[in-house]
Amino acid sequence: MSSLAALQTTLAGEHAAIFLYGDVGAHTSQSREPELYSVVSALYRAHRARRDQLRLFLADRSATPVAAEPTYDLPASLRTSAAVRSQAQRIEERCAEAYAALVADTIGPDRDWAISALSEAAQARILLGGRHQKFPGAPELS
Amino acid sequence: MSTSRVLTSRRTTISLVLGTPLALAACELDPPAAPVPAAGSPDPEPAPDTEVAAAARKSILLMVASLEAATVTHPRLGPGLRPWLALHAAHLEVLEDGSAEDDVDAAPVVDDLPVVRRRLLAEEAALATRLADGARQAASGALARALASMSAAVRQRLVP
Repeated sequence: MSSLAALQTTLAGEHAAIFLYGDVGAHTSQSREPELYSVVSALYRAHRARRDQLRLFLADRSATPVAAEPTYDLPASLRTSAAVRSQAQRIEERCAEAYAALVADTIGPDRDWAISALSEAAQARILLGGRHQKFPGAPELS
Repeated sequence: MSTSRVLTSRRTTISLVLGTPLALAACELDPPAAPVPAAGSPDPEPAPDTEVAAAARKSILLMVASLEAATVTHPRLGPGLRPWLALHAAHLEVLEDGSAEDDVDAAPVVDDLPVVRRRLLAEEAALATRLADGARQAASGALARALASMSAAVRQRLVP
């Protein structure tokens, strides 16, 4: 995949992550679960920031950044904090795979960005109560 | 004080037997990419991927040696260090390329347990940085991806 296509794919993933985090946030109570709320809010902001960075990377190449879909598939129910954590972990896992792919398909500053994003996604998983992984973003290497 | 010596092949035979070593250093998934020079600086010669992979392997082996030395001096650390050792063993399997055994010595371990813990965590953080550096230098996208993932895995374990 070309670096441009890889950046577009990653941006599409960020659009999905932001949409899904909106749903996750809507199912997280700031008063009952302040820690989870704080983590989810921080991760939501992180994905928005990455989306904006990716848009700039693409604009710098005179490419039109891929737009967000009108909607994305939402999980049937996020009634418990366990379900919320689990959904957020899935989002981070998908993003980690996209970042890892971006590492492979880019060089220079784009790859630097992807390496950092992958590391942050792996750490986010732990903040959300997930388990450690041997190869974040590259599960087939396990 | 004690030291530990680790041989590559001891931990990486499985990948050779299974034939699954990705031989990432010579990966065919994508051609070598040209490095992006920093503005105003002379173009650095890209390190051949065999060297990038070997450097990563040696860094991990040094970490394993430190962990093992710490366990010998402070057996109480053993259970807590096992997941780290398993992680590094998994990473070494991927980086195995069938080359000659590396022979590394760990630094001496002090008697103060909290100091040892702090030093090990600092060494792990340094390892994560070196693996990320390797990911930046790799010409092969597959090797870069693997090293970035390894770095992320170490960083992930450092989250309190």
